[in-house]
Amino acid sequence: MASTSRAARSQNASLSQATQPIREVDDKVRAILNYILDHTAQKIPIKDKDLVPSAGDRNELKKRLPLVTELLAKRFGILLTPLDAASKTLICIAEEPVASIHELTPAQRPQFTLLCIVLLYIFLRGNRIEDSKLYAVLEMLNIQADEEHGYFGANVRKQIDETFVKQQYLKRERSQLSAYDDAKTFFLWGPRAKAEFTYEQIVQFGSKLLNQHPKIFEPHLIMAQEGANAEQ
Amino acid sequence: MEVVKRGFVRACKNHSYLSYELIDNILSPLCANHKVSKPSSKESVKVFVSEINDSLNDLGQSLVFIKYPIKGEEYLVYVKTDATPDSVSNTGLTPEECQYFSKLLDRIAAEEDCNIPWNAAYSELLLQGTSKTVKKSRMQELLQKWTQMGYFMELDERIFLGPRSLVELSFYLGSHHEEHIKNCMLCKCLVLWDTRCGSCNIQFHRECIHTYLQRRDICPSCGNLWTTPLRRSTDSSQ
Repeated sequence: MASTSRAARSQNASLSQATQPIREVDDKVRAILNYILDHTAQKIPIKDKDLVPSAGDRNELKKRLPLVTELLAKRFGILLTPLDAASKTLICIAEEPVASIHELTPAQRPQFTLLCIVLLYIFLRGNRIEDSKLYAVLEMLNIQADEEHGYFGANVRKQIDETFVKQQYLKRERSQLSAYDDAKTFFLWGPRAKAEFTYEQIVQFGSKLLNQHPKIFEPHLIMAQEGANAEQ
Repeated sequence: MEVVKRGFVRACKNHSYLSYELIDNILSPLCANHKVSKPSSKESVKVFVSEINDSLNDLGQSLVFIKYPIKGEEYLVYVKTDATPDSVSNTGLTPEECQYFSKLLDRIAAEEDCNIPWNAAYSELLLQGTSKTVKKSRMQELLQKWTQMGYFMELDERIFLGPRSLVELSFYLGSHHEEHIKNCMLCKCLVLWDTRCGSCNIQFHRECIHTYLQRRDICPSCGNLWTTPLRRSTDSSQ
């Protein structure tokens, strides 16, 4: 009957409206995008629920996320990706590594260099290094984890243990060989490092740092690439 | 070329404000990596930037060139087009810290030449009326952060309004501090620390008045003969 079918039609229409993704840039799209852009500098993961206030409610956010993701990628080369398959947490990764250190501000360069050193040594150990061993290697380079460093600043340990881990540059894994052994903590390359750095870049960095020809890193490169293929 | 533009946008957002030299330092390896020719003259850089702006403006972002006389430089500034002092730097800041930004901005803008001695930036007066206080060390940290972001500029032990404030907050500054912050009559953009008429003291952008004086020899404001000498180049600093 006409009225019932009209009601049914309008109910269907509002249901599909509720889930229909938005394809035009409106104020809410701009607000969500601006929130994300404001937070990319810190490189800390963004939770879904942090974006809800910019959209109004969860449903409005859901309708706009595909467009926001597309705009970030197409206009800024920023890839908004879930931290893992099930995650309600997102990270913003640059579509490619920085072409030169000039893209970083002078204040960011020491931290970038420290990160390169850490990633290098993890790479040299087959993408897994025990934390104590990493800090021992840094000591050999005259970088004391718990003392102020002239270039890397105060709190090198905090930068590595906390900041780089939170920013997803490093992944921390705990491993216990048996119930009788102490648990050990290992550092690996995190998802952001894998996306923003290439092994070749780290090899170039390593050859300059250690004053060696890049060729000596070939076995490590092969091992790292095999490991990456296996993961995929 | 699109990848190059996107890489450049990310770098601009990271730096907040860039000199031509920095732009060139960024573009050289970026263009080389992608085997495209680099925009090398200032004009071609401006064209490059305006192409990028087409893809940013509808999202509330923009790249704007501004002359910054006290450093004798022209900067490219990354801005949000609808920013206010409250929205500007409030990522992860407490309400008191946001208020510190607004008050510091107002304090500097209220001065005739829009600058204050560096230690005046840490005055408790700036936190009057806030329920909680901000530690001095935190104020120093924040001022450093805001200076890196281009909202303020430190020069010769004084703190000036930075290039990003002049672009992003020009409407706020012009409307709340019209005593000292005015628009150049010739181009209608904010003008500070620039050339004044010897008779009426009205300020103009050096480039604007230079172009004007190629056709007339009087001040556009008071009509008297223009007497203030204009320096030839804008990039020689004092």
